[in-house]
Amino acid sequence: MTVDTDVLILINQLDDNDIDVRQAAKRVLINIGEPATEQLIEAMYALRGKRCWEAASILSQIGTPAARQALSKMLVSPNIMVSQIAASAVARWGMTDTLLAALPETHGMVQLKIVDGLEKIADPRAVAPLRVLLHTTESPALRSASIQALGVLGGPELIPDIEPYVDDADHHVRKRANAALERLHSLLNLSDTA
Amino acid sequence: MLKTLSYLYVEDEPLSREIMHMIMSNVIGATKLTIFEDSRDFLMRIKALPQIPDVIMLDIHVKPLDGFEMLGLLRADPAFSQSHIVALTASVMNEEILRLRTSGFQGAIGKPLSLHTFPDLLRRVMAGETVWHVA
Repeated sequence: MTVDTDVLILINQLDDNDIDVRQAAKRVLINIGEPATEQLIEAMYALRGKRCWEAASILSQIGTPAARQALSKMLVSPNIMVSQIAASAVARWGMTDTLLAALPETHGMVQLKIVDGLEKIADPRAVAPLRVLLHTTESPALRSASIQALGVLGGPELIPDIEPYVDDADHHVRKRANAALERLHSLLNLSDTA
Repeated sequence: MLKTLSYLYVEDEPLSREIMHMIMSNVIGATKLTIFEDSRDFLMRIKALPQIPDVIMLDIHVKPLDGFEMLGLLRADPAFSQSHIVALTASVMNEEILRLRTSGFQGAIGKPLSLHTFPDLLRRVMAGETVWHVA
């Protein structure tokens, strides 16, 4: 049997209903690495069955340039499983521009991953898009996550943006807003002292 | 093994519930997942379930009872002595992490949940390990 045939057999196992079978196939495919990349990308792009998001998950571990490029395109995939995995991977690779381009275009669950990733990357370019998201989203989870990220990435100039959310209808949002404001006010006090 | 277990998740945030449902049904293949959207009459509702959940996952900031209060009720009731109880939290505040570590949870898992890591974390919890996977 050729490597291609082996890879195909393993990719077929990614549709198995038993998570243990899928996990075993995943481990082998991750070990094969680069030679499996092309077929995994095809499986991911096809958006069929469990194999598409399992393939995305494997590609996120392999992380070759081709895998990164393919996953970058999937942030706005209609398959939310695939796009969530892509968002986590792209965030781990620190690809801020790709995350920011996808942020307004994708599903709320994926946006949540993107906001979390942007907070961890800590690139200040994320501040403006996160402000827009904060003021436009109807999801309390996204308001809450955006406030947390802005509290970490931003400076005292964001206080007026966050202040209204201490009275938000959602208690998670209120809590995050208070925590973010505490940090931003402490920065303000530091700069006053200096 | 994970797919045959029964799970309870208490979470008041819709997006987090959707993510949990997606992971449980698609990734783990679990068919016995119950979700409470709040903690009203918590003990009465959990006892009304067809079986005691093997795994109980509590969001910390649910109301009217928060995760710590729900944990207290469960730990005081012998009916739940075999259940694995885990906190799910989006919080990164240090004092809360410290409180989680000392409160008697078998672990804490950070939100948003990861499709990659969550099944393995559950497996470790079921193996009796204490799991701390928060930012």
